[in-house]
Amino acid sequence: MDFANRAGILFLITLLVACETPGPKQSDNRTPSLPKAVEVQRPLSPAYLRLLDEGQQQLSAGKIAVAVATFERAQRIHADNARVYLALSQAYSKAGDRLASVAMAERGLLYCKDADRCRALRKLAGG
Amino acid sequence: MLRKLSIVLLKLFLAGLALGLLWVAYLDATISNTFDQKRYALPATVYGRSLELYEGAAMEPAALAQELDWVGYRSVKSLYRPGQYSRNGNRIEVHTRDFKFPDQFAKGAQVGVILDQGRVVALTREGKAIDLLRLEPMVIGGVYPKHGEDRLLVQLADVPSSLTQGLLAIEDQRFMQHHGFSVAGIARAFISNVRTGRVVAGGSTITQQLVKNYYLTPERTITRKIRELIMSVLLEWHAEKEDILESYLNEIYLGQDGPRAIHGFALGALHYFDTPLTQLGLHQQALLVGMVKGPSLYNPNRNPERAKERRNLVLDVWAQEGIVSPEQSAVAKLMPLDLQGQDTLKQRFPAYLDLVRRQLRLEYRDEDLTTMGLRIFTAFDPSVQLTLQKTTQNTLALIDKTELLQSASVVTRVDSGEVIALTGGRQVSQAGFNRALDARRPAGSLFKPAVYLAALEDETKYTLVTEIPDLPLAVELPNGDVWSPENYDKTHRGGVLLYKALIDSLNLPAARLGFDLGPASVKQMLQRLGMTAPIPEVASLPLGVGEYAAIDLAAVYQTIAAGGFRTPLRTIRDIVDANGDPLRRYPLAYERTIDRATMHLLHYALLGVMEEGTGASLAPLLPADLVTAAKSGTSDDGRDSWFAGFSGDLLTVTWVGFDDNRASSLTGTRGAGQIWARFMAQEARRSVAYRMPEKVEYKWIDATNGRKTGRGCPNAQRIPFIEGSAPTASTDCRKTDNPVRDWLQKVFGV
Repeated sequence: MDFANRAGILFLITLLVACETPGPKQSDNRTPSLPKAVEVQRPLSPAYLRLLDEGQQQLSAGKIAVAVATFERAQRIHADNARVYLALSQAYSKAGDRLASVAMAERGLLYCKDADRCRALRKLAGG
Repeated sequence: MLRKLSIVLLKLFLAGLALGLLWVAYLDATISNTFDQKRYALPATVYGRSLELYEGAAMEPAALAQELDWVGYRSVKSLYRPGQYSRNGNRIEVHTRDFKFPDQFAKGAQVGVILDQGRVVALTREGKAIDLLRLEPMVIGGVYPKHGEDRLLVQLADVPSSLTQGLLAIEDQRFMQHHGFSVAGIARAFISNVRTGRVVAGGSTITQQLVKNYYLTPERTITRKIRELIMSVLLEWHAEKEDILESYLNEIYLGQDGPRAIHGFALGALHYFDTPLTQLGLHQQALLVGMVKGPSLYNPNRNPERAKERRNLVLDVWAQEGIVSPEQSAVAKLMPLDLQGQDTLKQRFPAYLDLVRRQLRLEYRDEDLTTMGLRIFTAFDPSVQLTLQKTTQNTLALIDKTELLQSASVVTRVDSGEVIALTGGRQVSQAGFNRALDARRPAGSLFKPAVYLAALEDETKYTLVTEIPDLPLAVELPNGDVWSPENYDKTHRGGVLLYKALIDSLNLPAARLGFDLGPASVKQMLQRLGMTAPIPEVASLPLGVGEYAAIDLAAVYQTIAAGGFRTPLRTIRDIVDANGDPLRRYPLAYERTIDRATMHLLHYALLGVMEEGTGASLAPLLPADLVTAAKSGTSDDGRDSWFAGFSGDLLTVTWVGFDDNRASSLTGTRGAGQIWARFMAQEARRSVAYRMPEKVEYKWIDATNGRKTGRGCPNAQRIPFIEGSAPTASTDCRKTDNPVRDWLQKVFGV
């Protein structure tokens, strides 16, 4: 180990000691699991995105029940993605089923990460 | 005198004639009113879930091959017809069959699945890349009449002519000439039997056999025989020969598969050879025809030699009668029986099917379920079910030497409320007492989350760090008795923070809190969470008093797992009629009954159960990166061991106990928890990972006294609160947030 490395480590240790708060020793600083777990994201499957598109086309064609069934297939692929709940909420809104629309939007809020999508879900949830 | 007697006899004769005519008229009405109904009566077929394959889907090559085996695909070296697959390392080629799903018809095609490192990486259909492949679902059972009849209808035009001609040659050579019964037929059968030296043909015509199967009991009496003859003649009068023959082909009994009776050649072909009727070889057709005489006696699975002998006899008759050439007969006689493997999964999931049937019977009459040919598409996952079954049996073998300990589990998908697997007892493949639905037991500590949730809804009075007394409690009951609960360890801590009381499953704080809130409040919370069983409104309710089945508790924990959204527990996704047209869908449905922010607080505590509470000892059984939340439950003297917990994708509620309610040494974690953890370790794919709701804020709290403190201070722990409800009292320790130190910690891990 050369002198520069030793000096660097010594400097870091000194800095750490300087930063250490005088007083009681640290103990259990648990990082709560909930916020940490939210950070984990899986890449979205092309099949999921295609089913969402297909459902949107069915919705546009007025085939609401068919669109809901297609969105539910998508939901089984990525049940932890907010897009599908937004789609389902919009489908139920179009069908005039406000209760179901609100419930789907609220459910989507448990998973939304994108600010625009969260806003859209909040709007449908009536919040 | 003689004249008088003649008149009496004449009158008696006329009266008898009139009665006889009335009887014939009654039989005629029976035939004409019910023949078509009976001809087309089809039991409901229950399917499991369709396996959806897409890029990124978790799947191992062996597991996919297993799935294909379950739906009756055959492993071959190279594909040459639908219903086959070939496996070459990580690549599986499948020739799918046509299948009508509830939402679309899928044409059979050659598809390819490439897997790598436990995931699907590419899919092709007829050589072109696709993004999604849906496999036909497995038939897991049916809803049969009391006598268990199952059948597949086939039209006469679709039956190979060699089979129909061969059947008539053996069973009724004069079928096209006679009018229901045949004296010549009886004589001919007698001669045929004498010629071969054995009984190869019976005297009853096909029409008589059909009448007997449709309308009569198997008793051998003169009255029944007369009735059979009259009804046969009437049937011939009403129906075309082709319709009678077609009905016979669909009706004839060909053996037993557990409680299920195999009727008709189409189902017989699938049951014995796993091959559609249209694709049967001559040797297979001859075997089925031969079995008509004695399905049990000539059962090829049980009595292969006898069945082969009978088949070859039939082939001889066919050659003699010119149905096939002598060469064809000789070749067919050299063929093996060619039966399908015996490892069929059908009818092996009686507990799950029981739940499906109960849900169906809420909306359909038994008669409709057993005759309309409904196709029921469920969420049942055979792969998850088998893991649950194996885990249950292996774990019980480890923890119980009496072999009497029983268990029941319910597994649901958190995001849909679909029940995907269920066990009703230790003997998982035997029908009988379904403990998951019918064993009603005290819930023990599984009710505590409802008590704490009811408290946390009033954030002005309760937070996760509110101190709850952990002191002796005596409640005088209406009958004058005194109820004095105790903690499991028989100690008192004086006071304990609310979340710690839940994590450690302390009885006294829960009972005290329940007493303060009132049993009505706890009961109401349980109902909001989805409990539908009767709940006694008594002081001991917080400790789980009452009688509840695993399915009842699964409904409660489903709402908790889903973040406060009540979802009906469903098994059925779609019902279609015999033509495949949709009759009923059971869509995804949520109802938010608990505020998301309040539920977030409860989740925090239930995660704590697994991190440092009663469930922490299960950590070695679970993957290190799988975050789960759970609650254990134990009733008095370990009579009931419960464990209810969830990952991000699955909820499982497990019960372990004895049928005779005897005590055991098992706590919730040492009994049911062992099954739960081993099962979740294999099937859970996602950690609990909800986004933090609005109105929730995290604060650093001293875990010993519930006061605000600073990061890095003694006992500091980040705990969630409804905005504005965090404690104001603070420890003397000041905050130590230091960006430079944090950066160094992050980079150097020191």
